[in-house]
Amino acid sequence: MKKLFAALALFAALSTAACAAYPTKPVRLIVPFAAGGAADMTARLSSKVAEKYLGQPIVIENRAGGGGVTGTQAGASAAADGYTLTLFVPGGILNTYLKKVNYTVDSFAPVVQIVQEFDVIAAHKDRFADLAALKAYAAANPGAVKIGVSGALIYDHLEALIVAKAMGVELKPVPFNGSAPAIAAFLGKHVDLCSVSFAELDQQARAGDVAFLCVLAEERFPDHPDVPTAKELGYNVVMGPWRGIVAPKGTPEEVLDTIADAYVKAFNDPEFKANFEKAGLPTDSWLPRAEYTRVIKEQAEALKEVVKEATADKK
Amino acid sequence: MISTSAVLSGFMTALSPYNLLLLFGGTVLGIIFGALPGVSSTMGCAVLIPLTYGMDPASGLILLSGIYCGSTYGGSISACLLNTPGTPASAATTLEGFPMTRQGRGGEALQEACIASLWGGIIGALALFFLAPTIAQLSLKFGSQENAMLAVFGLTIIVSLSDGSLLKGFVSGILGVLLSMVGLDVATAYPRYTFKLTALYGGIAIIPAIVGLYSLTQLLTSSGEKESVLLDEKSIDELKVPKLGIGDFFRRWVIYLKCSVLGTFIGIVPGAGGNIAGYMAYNHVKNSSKTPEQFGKGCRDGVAATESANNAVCGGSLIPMLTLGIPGNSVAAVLMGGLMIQGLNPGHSLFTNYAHVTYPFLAGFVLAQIAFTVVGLLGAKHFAKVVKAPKGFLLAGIGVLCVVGSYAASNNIADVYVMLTFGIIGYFLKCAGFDMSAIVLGLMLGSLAEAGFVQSYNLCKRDVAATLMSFITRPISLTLLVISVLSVISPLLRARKKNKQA
Repeated sequence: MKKLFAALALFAALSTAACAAYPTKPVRLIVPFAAGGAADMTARLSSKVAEKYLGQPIVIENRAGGGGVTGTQAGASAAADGYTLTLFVPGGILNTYLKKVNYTVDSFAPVVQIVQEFDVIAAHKDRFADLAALKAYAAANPGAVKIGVSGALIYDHLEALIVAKAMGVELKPVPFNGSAPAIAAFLGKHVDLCSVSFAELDQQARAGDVAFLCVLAEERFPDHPDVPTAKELGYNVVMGPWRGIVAPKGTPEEVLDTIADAYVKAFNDPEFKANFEKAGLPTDSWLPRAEYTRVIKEQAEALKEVVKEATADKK
Repeated sequence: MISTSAVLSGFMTALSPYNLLLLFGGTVLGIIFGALPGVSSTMGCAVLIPLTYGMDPASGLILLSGIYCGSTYGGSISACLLNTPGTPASAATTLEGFPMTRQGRGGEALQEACIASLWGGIIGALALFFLAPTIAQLSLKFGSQENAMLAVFGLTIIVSLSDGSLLKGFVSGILGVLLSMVGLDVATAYPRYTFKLTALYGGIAIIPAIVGLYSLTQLLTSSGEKESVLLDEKSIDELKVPKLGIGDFFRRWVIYLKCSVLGTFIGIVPGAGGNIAGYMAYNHVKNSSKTPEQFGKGCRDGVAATESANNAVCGGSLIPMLTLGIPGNSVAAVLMGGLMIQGLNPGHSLFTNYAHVTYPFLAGFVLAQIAFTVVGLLGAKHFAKVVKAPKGFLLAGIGVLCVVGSYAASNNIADVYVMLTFGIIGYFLKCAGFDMSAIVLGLMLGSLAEAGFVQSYNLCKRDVAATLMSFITRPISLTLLVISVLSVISPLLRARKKNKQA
């Protein structure tokens, strides 16, 4: 019923194409996660600036549930007219491999990548001062070191398994219902490690209770020059959530270009840079349409490998 | 630790005309959001956050505190008048508030809700102001074992709610717990009872469930009743709001104090969400009352307990959020997002480097309690007139709100179907004498209990004996376990004593 209506609307829109070019009404951006989280913030901050260039408001719709499945599914089944976009994260791809969902990576047409963050492994300073100490302890006590993760089969769960494998030790992932309970469990010392972004535990690190063991990036972060990368410590793990915008497959090329154009202009806008910096998000990790399309293709393959590797010796 | 000058300047900033306008505007908006079934505090804050981007951070946060506190109070309005909690936090208020309305004492119920909410909010705010760092450390001690035992304690409340039939109470509770199992499970993300519908992967959302179980069920029940208005003629004539005196603010101070402290603590526990605070307070007051048989028939103490507890949760939920970055419930999570967008990371620096934002926010939080009290007390007799509306219009309006509210929560049409299903099932269950509150409690606490138990099992290296021991060896967990046992035994013992005396 909804599709019929959308088709009729599209027909009507096309037949008056001379007077009404896309967009003629507000655009929805489905965020498959709860309000207030990192994905939600990324979407809101970037869209606030992009809507200036798009000419229509971009309305954020939070549709949390199932580790991102509910919202992403809704985005995949939406009409391909450019009025419903979805915030896409690695979890969206992972869900197609790990859970029973009715969409695939090919159900979407990539638009732009907004940001790429890299995760940091954090521990309590008095327990593990650096990664070597962690490795030594974990090797001597297999299964004793617990790492809190924000959900079963969520990106950081697999991340934990990959890191453990790279180090050649056994880390026990303990899934919680979201990143807030996982961080809470970590701060309360119910688990020994967790994987976060710098901003989430910045204060505690400054206060001296929390140590960042390693960052899973290519290079050290300028704001945290004393945190080594996993790579330079000998473990080739580069992982972290990217977040981008996608549209349903079949959305007309001109529409995709219009949206991408608006966002790219937004990324170069000083207001966007200021907002992202204030929120602790990187401002220069965005990618235009062609690049993001390539990244998604690569990630689809890479994550398949990650899943295989991570679940290889699970019972 | 707190500098008086920072606090004072915080209040001065909050009392500026612009901020006061935002505060009152936010509070009124919050009360409206809270009163409408389905529109929750979380949604209200999330929708208005973009409005705060352009504002000075302190002003934006003051607006949001108005919405948060106003909506928590506002939920009691529909809870008392229409047997429909406007927000999940007010679910327990229906237990006494609606019977009061049926007796024509709706205005009195609203007044009590207002006063109790004021007390709860102020005590929660005081805890936030003065005890935040200390209490926050306590919140960290709540691990999986503690969450499990807290959920168990919450579930034992069903015993005291089931005056009619203990068996029916148990069945309702178990039904609620079973329903909470729908969705992906915490430990392995296996889809349970989802019937291949990805819309159900997130489980049964609490708001559509409550809207269905209370609103729609009440709508169906009222439709079946002969009266043309919600109350009988005699009760309408007596729909007076009692004159308010200073004594009314302090008469029940013991209840307010105890339940507000309870609410603050529930707000601090990250996993619990604040919604069970009302039930726990109700349970406590009923068990410690000298006249427990009054409960369920319109006992003002009950409203006092539930409303002070649920408003204290507001302050409590902000404590771990501001100090540690751990939100106590979903509204605190939205507020945290609002803070972080402005570049304010939770932690110590909020009270030092960003004191010029944080203290006005906290001051605004305190003032918000006064704001909604003023609006609530002035408006009580007007709100109460809602029940005088012709039944047809009233019920049709409620029906629309049910559908819109359930959809608006997550923009998910599946939620509307959930609401309809729960409404229809709820109607038949109600006819058969089952208790909605028990189902709701089960739904709220089932997943918390399961997550707690499963995580404890994982943390204790999947050793059953070690897991069971861990519940007993951890002090908080043991305390909660003991309280749970007492909570089950004491109503039963009391009933036995009553039967012996009879």
